[in-house]
Amino acid sequence: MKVAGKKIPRGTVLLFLSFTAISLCLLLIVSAARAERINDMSRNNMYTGHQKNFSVYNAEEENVWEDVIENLSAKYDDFAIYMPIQDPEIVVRGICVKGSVEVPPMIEGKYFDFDASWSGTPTVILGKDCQKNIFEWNGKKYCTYGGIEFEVLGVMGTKEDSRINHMMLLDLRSAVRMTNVNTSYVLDTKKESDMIKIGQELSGLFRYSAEVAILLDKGDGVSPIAQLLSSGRIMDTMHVMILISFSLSSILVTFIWLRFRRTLLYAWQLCGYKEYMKGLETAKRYYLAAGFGFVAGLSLMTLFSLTVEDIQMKVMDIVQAFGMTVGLGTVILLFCYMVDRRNT
Amino acid sequence: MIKLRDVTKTFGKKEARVEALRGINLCIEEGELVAIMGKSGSGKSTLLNILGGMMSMDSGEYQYDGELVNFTSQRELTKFRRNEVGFVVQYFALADDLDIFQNVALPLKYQGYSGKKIKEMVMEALRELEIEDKAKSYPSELSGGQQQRAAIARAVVKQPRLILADEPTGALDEATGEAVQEIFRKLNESGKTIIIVTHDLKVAGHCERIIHLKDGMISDDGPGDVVREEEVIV
Repeated sequence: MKVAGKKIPRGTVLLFLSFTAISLCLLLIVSAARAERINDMSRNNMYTGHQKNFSVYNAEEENVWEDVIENLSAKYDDFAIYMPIQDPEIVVRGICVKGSVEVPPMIEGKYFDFDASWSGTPTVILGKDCQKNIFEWNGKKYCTYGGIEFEVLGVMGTKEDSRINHMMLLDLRSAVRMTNVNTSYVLDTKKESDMIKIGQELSGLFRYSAEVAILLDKGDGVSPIAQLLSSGRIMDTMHVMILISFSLSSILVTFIWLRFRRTLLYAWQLCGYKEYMKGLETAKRYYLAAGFGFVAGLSLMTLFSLTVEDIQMKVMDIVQAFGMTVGLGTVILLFCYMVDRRNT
Repeated sequence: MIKLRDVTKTFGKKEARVEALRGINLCIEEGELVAIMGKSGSGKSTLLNILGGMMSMDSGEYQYDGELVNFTSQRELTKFRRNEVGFVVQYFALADDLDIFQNVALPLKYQGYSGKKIKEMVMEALRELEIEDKAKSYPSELSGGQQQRAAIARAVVKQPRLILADEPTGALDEATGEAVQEIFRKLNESGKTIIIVTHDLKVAGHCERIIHLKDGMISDDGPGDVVREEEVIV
């Protein structure tokens, strides 16, 4: 087969097609996973799905959270404490976040980190439909809520109408100041397994300053296989299965490709190529075919996202899919090259 | 130039063990045109591969220009092959997705030559082999004879002193084979040492010396015409 006057071996055509398919599959998986995550987040009111409600009562001082947050943040990563605030029009929450738990899709600016959510300076993340009262001062954006001026760190939201669009997240200190420390809260952790540890720690830390009511159960004893095939995970499991089957077919195609390259490998040997030269030349040819495959996969995905509204691709999806393709491709090439070398 | 002493090589283990070479002693002077003959399995290709540093030996000594070739180091063998030897094989070993120019240029890559110098050297080799006009053609577009000329051009492009050919006319018709043989004769006249493994008496007949292998040992070593007559009588 000749392309632009250059002869392309059959093995290379197969490799190109294989990487077109695997890139397209990865792009679809990454985009779908992102969309699914945002849907879940919106459905769960921005919680991970394994959050726990708890109440603080009989606290006499407003600053009871000071020591608790300081100790918790020193010991644990990836947790968030939310404080729902009653508002008849929009969803308002105070938040203190350490590490990453659930990060909503940001339209502009940045999301809370620990320093911003526990600084004491009134800061806010606004849903995209809550921007009516924004004003600018000294090059920064502000909005007033509950009589306090909050600096707007960022705006979050989704293209479709969602709860996130109608939400307002305040830094926890300001939220406590605005309402009362004796109220209901939500503890959320990135990993479900951290919930009991952090929940127990939280109860312990409050024991001298207030009372805490939190119910920490150990789950419903669902087996890992049942969890894997549960409705919430079925898509993840399917994605992994698809990826495995594509990887296996790519391994097969890479072996075929190397078989078609035997004459060239022999010619290099006759010419006295060092091992690294042979490896370099092989990798160069492999990555070129795989690279063109990725570009073709990306082009197809762009075409899909232009014609099908439900498929949306972001730059981050491309970066992630590219990284995964390169990583997967490298592992497959190394494995097949070593096996092929041993057998010849 | 080449001195082999008690070279042995075996393949396989236990019952499958085959002694390919059993104590080969051999001297080849610079500028010689030598044919190695023998039946299939007599060890001639193994001997050629050892001479070219493509294969290690089990025991014995290989001296090249008075120096021992280090068979324990793959790096040294590769260097030896890269600097001293040009290979020509029966089925040409030309990469089918590279044009003739690119195939012939393979030995010059990673040698520090500029693109201009590589072009000069490759075109010179193609001119000598009379396939200059085929530089942009792919191997599948050439006849067997032209492909073998291209393979010879690749072997000589880096100007090695030793050329090793394994059944170079085995895949060619008689007339083309003779033309290829003529090329080897001319290369030999220009000072190259050439060792050809062949079944073909006619090819061997053009060589000034024929080494006959039998069961991994040298059974005959003499001038080309004498051995040829003996072979014909047998």
